[in-house]
Amino acid sequence: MKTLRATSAAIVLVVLSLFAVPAAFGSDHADPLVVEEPEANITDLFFFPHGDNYVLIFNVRRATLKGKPFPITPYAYAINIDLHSQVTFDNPGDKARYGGTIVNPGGIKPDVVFSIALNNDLTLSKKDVTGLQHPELIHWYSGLRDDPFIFPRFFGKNAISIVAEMPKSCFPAGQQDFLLWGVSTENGKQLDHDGRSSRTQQNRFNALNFLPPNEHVAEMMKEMTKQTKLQQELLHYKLTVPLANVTQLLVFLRKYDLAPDVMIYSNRFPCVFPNGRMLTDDVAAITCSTGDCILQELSFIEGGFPRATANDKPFLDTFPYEADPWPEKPEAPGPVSFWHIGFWILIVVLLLVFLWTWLFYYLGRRSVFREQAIQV
Amino acid sequence: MKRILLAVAALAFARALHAHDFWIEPSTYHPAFGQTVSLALRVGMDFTGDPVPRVSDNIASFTIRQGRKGSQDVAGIERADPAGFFTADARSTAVVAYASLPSPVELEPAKFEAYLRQYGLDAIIDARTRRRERQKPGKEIFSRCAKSLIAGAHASLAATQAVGLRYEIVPMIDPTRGDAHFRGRMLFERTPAANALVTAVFHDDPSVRVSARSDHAGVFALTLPRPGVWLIKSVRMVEAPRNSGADWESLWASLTFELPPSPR
Repeated sequence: MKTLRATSAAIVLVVLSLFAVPAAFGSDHADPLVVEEPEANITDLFFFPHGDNYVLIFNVRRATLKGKPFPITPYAYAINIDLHSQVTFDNPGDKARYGGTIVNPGGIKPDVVFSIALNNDLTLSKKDVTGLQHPELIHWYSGLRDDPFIFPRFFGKNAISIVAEMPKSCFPAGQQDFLLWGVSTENGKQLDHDGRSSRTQQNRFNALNFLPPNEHVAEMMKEMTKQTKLQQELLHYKLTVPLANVTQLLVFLRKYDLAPDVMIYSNRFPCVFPNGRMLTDDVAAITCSTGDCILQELSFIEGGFPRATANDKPFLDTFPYEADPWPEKPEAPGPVSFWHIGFWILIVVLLLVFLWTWLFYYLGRRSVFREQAIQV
Repeated sequence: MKRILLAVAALAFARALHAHDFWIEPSTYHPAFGQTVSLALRVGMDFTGDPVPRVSDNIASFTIRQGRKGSQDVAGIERADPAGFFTADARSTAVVAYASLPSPVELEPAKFEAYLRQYGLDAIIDARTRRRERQKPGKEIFSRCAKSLIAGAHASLAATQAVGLRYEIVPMIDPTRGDAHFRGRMLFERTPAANALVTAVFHDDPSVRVSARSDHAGVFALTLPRPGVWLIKSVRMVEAPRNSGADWESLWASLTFELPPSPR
């Protein structure tokens, strides 16, 4: 019975690991786990002060060299800002990882919403803003820009970018703390979520991509309980201990994860990730220093030495701040559907199952006939 | 051979940790509504503890009772410290309870007797004397029965009710409200435990401690001289069940809470 449990646990974990490993290796700003609709995939969210203004940058469609048009009209985007949640800064771990501690994650709600949609030529078809004073003062940009993520895989590539720059006076006077997150939706269904960079991109947070941030901590606690039971089983048997180590690294939640995925920005402190996010912030190095190193490792694996700590193209000092796009090029074909080969694998497996069953049935009948013959 | 070494190491570890207090240390004793609170398990003396990671194989129960939700399992990550997390309701006092499964330990006769004296287990010394066992090593199994009270906006009836630990300290008035006259009951398997030595240790200065013995109804009273975080503790020892491989079974009850500076 114990062996059966161990074997079952091992099988489950092998399957989990198979899912986890490739996803982790694609886990820069590539989320959800399976990017079915790249135009819905949020790649970056930036928020930083610039003189008397705040700059908000929201990017989708990572690592592209494709030219217009893009099949982007089915998707709607929203950038939300919570201005009411209490944030504290006395927990050094939370401050280093998330920019602060949100006292009541269950109370996060948007006070300001930027509702955005794009035409196929990447011009803005919708730019509604609620909750801000004088939204007419917002300076907008939309179009292709250099993919600004400091990471070798995205060097020489573009992303679809939406930039909004607004006077600080659009926000309530004396506003110090901001919680930001972006979502993409199609027909009202949430397809992706992005808060603090490099969080929901990690495998262990994938479920958060489909939930509002006020449900994130509860969801993680629920998940943690299930994972603990599984981890207990895996650590119980010699056979499955290596799998326990793999899942701990790639799949299971960690003790410092219980914070909602939002970007915290407080103007009490200088703007450096994770307090807001500047274009120049080396997110891979900063997140590695607090316990999430996969991007750092990948940047060594895929890049040269020493590791690039700045973007491949200088950012601009003026609006829209991201570098000019790279020239259009034919894109290499992406991964094909598993079912190109999976269909034939399924047929072979079904055939084997059929043959196996038939063989047992045939041998069984033969032995019955023999017994009957002996009795006669 | 490897197994024997592991068993010896486990026994040594258990021995090292055995005659030590065990308590729950929350990240805050007065959380705000919705706050994520971590629950660390600590083993040590004088309120200086080593972390005890969550090891599900050693846990009989690890629960929290807050608001109207009833008792719920505490979430956590295997082999991690802190051992658990919960989202604070903060409306009324929350009760966290942890019970471990029994672990075996064997102590040299002198050490065993010293620890029996330290925790006021005179009846066991007498029993060993009657049985002429005082020169025998002390073979026992021990379990932890720890509780912590985390303050909310209002007092909670749950704080004054037994949660069902085998050996349990049950306050008669919710101590998180600020009454320095702590009255409580010692319960062993839900029945009054008479003549139990109960000691309260002050977190900021462990030399500040007060003790009392429970009466025939299991009731004891302690006057806590300072506001702040307190650990109240008591050890119960009974004959070990047959087939346990031990002579004695000890149950280590503890209760942590913060006494506010003035009554709420």
